[in-house]
Amino acid sequence: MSKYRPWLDQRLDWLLSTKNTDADLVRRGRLLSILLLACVAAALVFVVIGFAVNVSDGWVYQDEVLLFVISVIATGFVFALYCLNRVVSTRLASIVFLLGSVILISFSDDPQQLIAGRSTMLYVFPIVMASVLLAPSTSFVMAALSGVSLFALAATNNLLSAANLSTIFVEIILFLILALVSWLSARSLEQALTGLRTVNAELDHRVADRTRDLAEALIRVQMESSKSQAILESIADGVIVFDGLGKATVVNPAISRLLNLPPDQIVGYRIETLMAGVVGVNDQKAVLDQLRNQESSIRLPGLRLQWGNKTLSASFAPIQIQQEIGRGTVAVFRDYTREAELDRMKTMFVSMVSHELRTPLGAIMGYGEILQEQVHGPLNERQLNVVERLIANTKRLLSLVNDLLDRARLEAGRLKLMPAPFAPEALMEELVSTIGQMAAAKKLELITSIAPEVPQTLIGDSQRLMQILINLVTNAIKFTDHGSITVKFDRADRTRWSLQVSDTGIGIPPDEQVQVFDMFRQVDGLTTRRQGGAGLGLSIVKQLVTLMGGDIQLVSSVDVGSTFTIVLPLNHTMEGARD
Amino acid sequence: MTDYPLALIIEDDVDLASIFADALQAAQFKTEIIADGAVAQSRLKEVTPQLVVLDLHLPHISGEILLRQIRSTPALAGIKVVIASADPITADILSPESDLVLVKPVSFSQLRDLALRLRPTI
Repeated sequence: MSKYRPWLDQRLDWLLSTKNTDADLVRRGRLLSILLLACVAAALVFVVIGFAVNVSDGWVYQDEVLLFVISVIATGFVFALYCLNRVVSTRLASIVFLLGSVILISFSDDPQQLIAGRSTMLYVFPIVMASVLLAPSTSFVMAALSGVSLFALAATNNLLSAANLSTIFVEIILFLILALVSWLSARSLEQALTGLRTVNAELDHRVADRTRDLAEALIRVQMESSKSQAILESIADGVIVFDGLGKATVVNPAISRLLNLPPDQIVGYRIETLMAGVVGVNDQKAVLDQLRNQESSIRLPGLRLQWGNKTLSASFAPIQIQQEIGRGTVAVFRDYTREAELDRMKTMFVSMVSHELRTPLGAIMGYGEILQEQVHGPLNERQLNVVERLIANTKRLLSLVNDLLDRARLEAGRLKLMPAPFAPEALMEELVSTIGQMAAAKKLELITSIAPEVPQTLIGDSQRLMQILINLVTNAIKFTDHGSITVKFDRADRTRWSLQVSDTGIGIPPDEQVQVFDMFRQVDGLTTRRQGGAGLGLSIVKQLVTLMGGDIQLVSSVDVGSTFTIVLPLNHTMEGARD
Repeated sequence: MTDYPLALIIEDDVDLASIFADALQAAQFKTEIIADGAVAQSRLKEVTPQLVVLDLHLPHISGEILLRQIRSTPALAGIKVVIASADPITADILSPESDLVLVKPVSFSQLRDLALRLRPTI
C-alpha cells in the first residue's frame, strides 16, 4: 500500500502537469487539466452511450447518429484543449475553454427558454471559472460576454420584446453581481496565496541562512578542537585529565607509552587503580597528597616517582572542565629515567672522587702536623709559618671535600643518622671551643644560651647537630664584620626543640632568601664573593635538618642581620638519659 | 728504645702508616708497620704488641676479622685496639669491641695524645 500510493501520486502528477513555472500558472494549469479531463470523461460516456444506442437501432435515426458524431467531436475538441494546456499555454487553453463554454451554453437550450431563465444559471460556470482560471477580474469579462450572447440570441431570433429585454437586463445585473463575488473571493484567495508564498520564501531564506551559520560555526569548533587535539597528541609529555570525581577522562598517546598501558585501560580509571602494584607506597601517598592539595597555591615544583621501571616526574594543576563536571586536575608526567640515572652516576662520581681526594689530603695534613710538631727536629720561625699556611690551606680543602662527600651521601640517601643521648650544654661548649677562635679573630662576640626548659639530656645525632651549628656559625662569622653571633637552644613546642643562630651581619636581600639553601649558592656581589666557601654549607644544613625531620627558617634584613632558626623533633627521654 | 712498648700499625696506606708511626713514636712506642691482613695475622702469632692501630680495609684479611680474632685469642687479651677507618658506620658497629675508634682523616696530634693515654701504666 505504502509503495502503491507514491506510484499513483506520480501518475496523477504526470496527468495534471503543465510546462508552467510560475506558481499561479501551475495552480491554474492543474485546475484546467482536472476540468478538461472530467469533460473528456463525460464526453466519452456520451460516445459510448451513442455508439451503443446506434448499434442497437442500426444507425437509422438521424438524431441518434448526430448525437454520436457530436460526442466524438466534443471528445476530440476537449482532448485537444487538454493537450494545448499541457504543452502550449494554459492561458490560451483557458480562454478557448471559457469561450467554448459560453457558446455551448448559448446553444444548449431553446433561445426563448434560455432568455426566460430555464438554463441561464449555466452561465455561472464560465463566470466563476474565469476568475479562477484567468485573472480574477476576467469574471466581469465573462459576465459581459454572457450578457452580450443572451442579447445577440434574442436579436437573431426576433425575441426583443419589452418583457424579454427587462429579463435580460436583470440577468446581466445578476451576472455582474456574481462576477463581483467571484472577483472578490478569487482575489482574496490569490492574495492569501501570495502572502503565504512570500512567508514561505522568507522562511526558506532564513532557514538557509541559519543552516549556513550553523555549518560555519561547526567547522570552526571542529577546527579549534582538532588543533587542541593535535597539540595534545604531539607533545612528548604524558597528560591525563582527571574529572572532579578523580576519574581519568582525557589521555594522550605519550602517557600510554610512558605507563605502557593502552588508552582504554587508563580512561575511566582512578589514579589509585593505575598506580596499584607498580608504584611504591610512599610515592603513591605523595601523588595523592598533591592531587588532594590542589587548592593550595604553594606547590612542589615537581614530584619524582618510580613508576614500574621508569622514573617519572609528575606535576598537577587544577582545571575547570565544564560547569556541570566541576573542578578537575590535569596531571603531566615526564620520563625522568635517564636523568635519574645520570643523577645517580653523578652522585656516585662525586662520592668516589671526594673519597680519593680525602686520603692524600689526610696524609698532607699528617705530614704538616709532623713538621709543625717538630718531631724530626726544630724549624725556624719562617719555616713554621710556611707549615702553618700549608696546614690552614689543606684544612680548607679537606673541609670542602668533606662537604662534597656529605652532600653526595645526602643526595644518595646514604647518610645515616646515629642518634644517641647527648647533653645540649656539652654541645654548646664544643661549639665554642671549635669556633670561638674564629669569632675572636674577627673581634666578634660569640654568645651561647640554653633555655631552662631544655633538659640535661636529649637524643639525637650530636655529630650532625654539631656540623649544622658549625656551618651556620661559620657562615654568620663570614658575613659579619662587627657585633655578635648568638646561638640559642630553646624549646619550640611540646615535642620540638629550636636552635637559633643570629648575627649582626650584612643580611640577605628578600629576593635572595629563597635561594640561600641551594647548592653552590652565595648571595651575589663582590663583597660577598670575597668570602671563601663553595656555598655548600647551607645546602648541607638544609638537607641534614630535613633528614632529621626538622625545619629551617630564615629571617633577615639587609645591614641588620640574619637569623636562622632550626626546629627539630629531638626525643626527650629521661629514662634513656639515665641509662 | 728497646724498653718502649710495641705498637703494630696495620694500615695499607703508606703515608697514613708513616704518619701513625711518627705519632706513636712521639708517644714513645716502638712501631712496626704491616700493610697486609694476612701478614698481620701471622705476625700476631709471633709478637704481643701493647697497641694495634687497625685499618678496616686491608688486602687478604679485613680489619674486622683481625679484630674478632684478636678479641677471641686469650694470649692477646690485654691488647689495646684503635680502629682507624674512613667508614663511620662500620666503625661505629665495631666500637664496643675496640678501645678507641678514630674516623679518618686522623690527625697526627690527635693520635699522639690518645696513644699517650693508652700507654701501659707502669
